[in-house]
Amino acid sequence: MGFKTSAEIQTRHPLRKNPPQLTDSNWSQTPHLHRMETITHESDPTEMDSSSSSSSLGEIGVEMKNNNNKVEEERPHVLVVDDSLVDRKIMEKLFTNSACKVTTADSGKKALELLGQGEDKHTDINQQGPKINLVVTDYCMPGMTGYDLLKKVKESSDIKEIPVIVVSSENVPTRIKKCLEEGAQEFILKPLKQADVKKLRCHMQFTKPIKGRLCMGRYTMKRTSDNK
Amino acid sequence: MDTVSQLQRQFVEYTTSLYREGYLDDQFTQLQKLQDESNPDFVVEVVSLFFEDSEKLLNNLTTALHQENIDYKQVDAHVHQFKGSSSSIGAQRVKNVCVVFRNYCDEKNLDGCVVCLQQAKNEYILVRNKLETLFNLEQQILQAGGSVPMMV
Repeated sequence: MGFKTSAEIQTRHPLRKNPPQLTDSNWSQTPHLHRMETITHESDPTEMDSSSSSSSLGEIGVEMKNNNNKVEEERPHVLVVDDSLVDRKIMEKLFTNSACKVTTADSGKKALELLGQGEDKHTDINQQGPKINLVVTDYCMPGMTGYDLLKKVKESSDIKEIPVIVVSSENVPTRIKKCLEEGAQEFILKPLKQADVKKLRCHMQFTKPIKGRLCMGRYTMKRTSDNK
Repeated sequence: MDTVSQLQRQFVEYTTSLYREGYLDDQFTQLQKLQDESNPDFVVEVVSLFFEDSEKLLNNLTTALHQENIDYKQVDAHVHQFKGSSSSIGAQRVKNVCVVFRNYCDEKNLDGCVVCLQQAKNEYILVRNKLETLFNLEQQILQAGGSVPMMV
């Protein structure tokens, strides 16, 4: 089962009053723990200084603040492709919880249009809006599969640099090998968990490359003004 | 605060039983962890989508298995989808029926498929009722001024 021995739980509704104590040790209540890893270090006075910034979690060097328009541009932009509405909704939440901007597409065809490879250039959000930093696609989709989409992305001179993650509910070694050989960054089994998404952040490319970017671990990182 | 404690205890016991009896698995817990103040109805929304999706799929399956010439690939495609969405929300028993169902599709075994379809419908109705009861309990707790306990 999915129980941990830690007695901490999160109260997850905004209507919170003084919670009564339950005697069963798995169910004790503690003050609300916000999702600390995606929101912010609150009171660093140098935050607004454009020449340096630090991230207390420092996963990717994206400044993780909330409600700051300037920093909104830094959020990685993920394109989630899945024919299942349930899965799109879940993946969207997984990524927004990791401070990403998310666009969803219900087919490979739609995804290509959004990436500027479709017939209608007007839907190309890659040109118009914030660039896409990561594509996450389901493998099994009617029409164009995730593998087909991966191939098309990697064959295109415009977008082949965009990392593509393939997800699938089926653990088929030949399928996994095929995708990795075609250039998929990773192949992950569904259903995805928050931990999977956190690990993916190191694959995301940013329009403004940041010096000294590392994938793992907690550290404080400075971004200097000569990084563009 | 007596009512709140009672309701909370009921909620805890009910949730525990759902996991113990295999209706829900860890993926449901994962969904709950995703919920936060920016989207306090996330779990209910996703589960509602699952309900809608499931009902469509079950209808499609019923139709597909009533054809004169059954297209088992099509049947399998529907079951695959159903397996995926049930797995994504943690509806373990539904998912398990889908696994067996797919095997029957591979074998083009009509009797097996028909039995599985009925089982899938039954398990779906069961988990739907249980989740609705759970959400109801949550609402009662909130309305009584309490907070909803959650397992990690």
